[in-house]
Amino acid sequence: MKHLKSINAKAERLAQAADGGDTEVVMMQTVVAGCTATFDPGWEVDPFGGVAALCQPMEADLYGCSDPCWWPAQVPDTINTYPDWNADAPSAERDWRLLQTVFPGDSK
Amino acid sequence: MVNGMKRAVLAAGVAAVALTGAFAAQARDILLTGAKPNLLVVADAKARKVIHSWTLPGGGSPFAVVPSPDGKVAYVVTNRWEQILGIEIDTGKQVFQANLSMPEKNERVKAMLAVDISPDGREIAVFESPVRMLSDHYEVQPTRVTFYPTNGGMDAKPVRSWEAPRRTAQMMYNKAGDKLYLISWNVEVHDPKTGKLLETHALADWTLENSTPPDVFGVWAQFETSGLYVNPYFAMRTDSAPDNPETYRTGMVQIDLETGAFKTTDFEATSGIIFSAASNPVRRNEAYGVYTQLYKIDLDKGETVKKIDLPHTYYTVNVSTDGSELYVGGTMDDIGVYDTKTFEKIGAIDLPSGNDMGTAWVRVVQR
Amino acid sequence: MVVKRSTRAGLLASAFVGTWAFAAHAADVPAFYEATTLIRETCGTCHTDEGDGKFSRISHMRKTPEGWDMTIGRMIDWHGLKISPTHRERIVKHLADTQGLAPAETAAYRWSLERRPNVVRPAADETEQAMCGRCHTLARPALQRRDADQWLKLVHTHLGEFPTTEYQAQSRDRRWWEIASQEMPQALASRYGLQSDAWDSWRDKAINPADLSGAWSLSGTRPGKGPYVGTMEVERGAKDAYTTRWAIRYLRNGETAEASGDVRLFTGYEWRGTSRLGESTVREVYAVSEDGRSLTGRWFHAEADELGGSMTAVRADGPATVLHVEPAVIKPGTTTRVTLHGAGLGKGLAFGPGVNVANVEHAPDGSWVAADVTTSVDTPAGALAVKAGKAEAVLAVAADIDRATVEPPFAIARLGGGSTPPVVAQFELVGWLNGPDGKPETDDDIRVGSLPATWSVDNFDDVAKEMKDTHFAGRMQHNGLFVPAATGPNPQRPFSGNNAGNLSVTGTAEFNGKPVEAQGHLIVTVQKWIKRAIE
Repeated sequence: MKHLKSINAKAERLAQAADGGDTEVVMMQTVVAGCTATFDPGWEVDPFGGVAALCQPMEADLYGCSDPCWWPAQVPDTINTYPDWNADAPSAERDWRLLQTVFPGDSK
Repeated sequence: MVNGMKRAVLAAGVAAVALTGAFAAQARDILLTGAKPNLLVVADAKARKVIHSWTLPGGGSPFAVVPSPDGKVAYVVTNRWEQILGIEIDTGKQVFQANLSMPEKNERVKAMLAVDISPDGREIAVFESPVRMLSDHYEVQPTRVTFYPTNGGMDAKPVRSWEAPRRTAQMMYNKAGDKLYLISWNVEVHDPKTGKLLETHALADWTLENSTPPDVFGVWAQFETSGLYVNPYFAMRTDSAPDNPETYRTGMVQIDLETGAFKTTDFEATSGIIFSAASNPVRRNEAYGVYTQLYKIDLDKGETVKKIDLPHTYYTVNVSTDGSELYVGGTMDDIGVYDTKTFEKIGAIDLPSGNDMGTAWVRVVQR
Repeated sequence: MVVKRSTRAGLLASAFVGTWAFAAHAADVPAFYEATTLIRETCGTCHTDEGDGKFSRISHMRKTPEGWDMTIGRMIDWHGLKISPTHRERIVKHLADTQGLAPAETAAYRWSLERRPNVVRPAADETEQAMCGRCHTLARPALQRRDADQWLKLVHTHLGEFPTTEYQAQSRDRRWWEIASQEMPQALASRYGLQSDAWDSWRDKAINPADLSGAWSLSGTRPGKGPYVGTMEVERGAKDAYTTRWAIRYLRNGETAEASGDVRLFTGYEWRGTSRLGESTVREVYAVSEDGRSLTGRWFHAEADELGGSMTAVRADGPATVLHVEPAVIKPGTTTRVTLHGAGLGKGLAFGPGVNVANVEHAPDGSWVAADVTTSVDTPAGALAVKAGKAEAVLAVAADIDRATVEPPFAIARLGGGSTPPVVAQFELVGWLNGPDGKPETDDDIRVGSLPATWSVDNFDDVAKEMKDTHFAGRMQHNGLFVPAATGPNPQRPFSGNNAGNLSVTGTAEFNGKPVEAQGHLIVTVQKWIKRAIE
């Protein structure tokens, strides 16, 4: 992570926090602001440490994440694991209400 | 015999010229893309209209769309990246199928992002990531380039294959068809017939002073009208403070698919995100980048010359054959049409289904 | 796999079948040979029987109950395993009991099992942080035990199932596959290897735990509502199965709630309960102490695990223990009624030299003792060492609070809508004294607990201001609970963006007539579509 320089001072601060260099900043570990490298905005936080540069709207990008298995810890991947997750919702912008949260292994 | 051959070649050349001339009067740009649920979408660019939405067999969404050089067949990577289907653009008839997975070896094989067709239209080169699915464990296999003959019909079998660098994200033939470029950590140039490594252009291993290695990633092939491959990179200066905005650099990797010239150009202190890029076939110093903004980049001067907000995030940008229009697509259900000079929005092609293109490529062919 | 239920409660109630869905068949505990037979029948098609009740892969790792349940979940989703909830629970119970983690091995990662929101514990090791911590909490690797060959197989599983992993931004900054396959297996095995002294000395206790039945005294804090105290009766059913009746009272407003529940004990100490608390269903994740006389953990709402309370409980029959002191801070030169809550309380109450104690009262069952405590104006600010028999506690004395902090200092809330419930963020304002050295943020600082506060949010930076994040992202409620706005594209925002926001959070309280204030940071972001027991 050290060689993965953050994109601004804010992200740098978060990166230091995640490195243990700044114990005052307690943040959820799955928020990886300081680690997101480049042209690939993070799921929760953008590379600039905020939310304004996330894909807009998220629904535009949702199937670009699920179908190529891009954020498999946050978005069900349809390439292998949940092949039919968005089968009934071919437009994320229009049909997002039909998408279900998955609970791995809960098959009923 | 030699003379006879020469004559034949000459005749073919004349015929080609004549054909081009004949078509030039009425040739129009056709856009090829994919949408859910497993649709191959064919649009007339100038008419701003979808003319066909062919439903592909199987379940999944199209990702890569590779047109045959004559513009008649679209080869589509779909069905969760495990199949390449060849579809006649005008009729929707399926004429080709390659199933990449090999059940006899318990091997699940994914077409991993990179795929292209040889300029003679005879072979499809696909970058594959295989994994053996054994009874109680997975076994990741080396990644490889595999070649399928386009005359292989509905059960095409590979004719050649060799190991290639992991994390290869894009692959394209040069114009002559004797080089295959693999964009991975670095750019490897393979002889597509023998697999011989012809040359390597450094990216991750570049020795540029006062810079981190660049991050290069892009999965959308959109170089067909210009013959100049462009793809953004991101790097940081090591001689500048982290809180200095000038530390963060965006540049463009360029490969001229005719001459083989390879170049990287730093064009701005990173001002935003760019997912993919394409260059203008007429004004070849001009490149365009897309994400939530549309960028115009002067590759000669190394600067961003124009930047506008788009209605939403898009993944792809392609350029009309005459260099006048941009087609901004991917993600949702609309392809935005922009004037390359003014960036004025001059049209839109809405998918009748209203369904997402997602990661599908948007290709331009002339018909 | 994709849950299709309309109600939020229904969604979550059915999740994590193996650790929660035990109430109906809690009495039906398999003997060892039965469990082995069940594993052979259920898993033996793919997993080789290695003899002595061992099976390939399965018998070469140790996991928490949640970890084993997630494994079975993957077998269902990825490989088409068909298994009934009863059999799933039996297998989870057997594997967690015989191939679990010892208390010492889970101690540093209870926050994960307890699903405490907004916690980060960076890895000591940078490579592990990069390899595991960019997608998971580090509890994911740390709550498993394997040798290098099995860690290597897990690496292959990752890339085999999620083949673009090596392409993603969080992997592209290094040779992901080479590090994952060549360095990580040995590194993880040396940190989290299969064999451990902790497990070797615990494994007998894992299958012969203490009897937990009897009366308990309990206390905890429910952020947003403050501290509570209560009592619990535990009744033993079948082996490792209990029923409970418990009641709590919030000290700030006197609100009470009663609960009854079912508990299953895993690995000899992992208490997993489901209770009806008032109108809500709550889950309990507690760790029982080795002697079976105390437990600590967290309960949380089944339908919103970010909301819940900490829990500490001790046997009501002693020895003397103080679980909570109310209030946490008193002023010099005043007389204050102070109550100690816990067990075995009543005798030998003392607050140190110069502090007068009068009108001592205690509960017949020893669950509390109260007294009028009088300090002089000269009583120095700091911590009084309180004694109640052999029990010890701390009571702060101060005219002013030196500083406050917002907890958590950085939080995530998620937009909700459609089938996805929102994830709220609960903040607390915590008061601090600087302690004997007079310096803030040093080891001798005295925490005086949460302060009733008023709350507001503001745009975190200029970008947020321009995007009007405070207007769109949601609303801060009076008790520090931030409720995010609805998800979905919002045509009123640029690019029809979502109601995400980057906000600063301010909590303000008054102590001794003076304002105390602190700031936190809140990211309101898009929903997450996968919910796991161990994230």
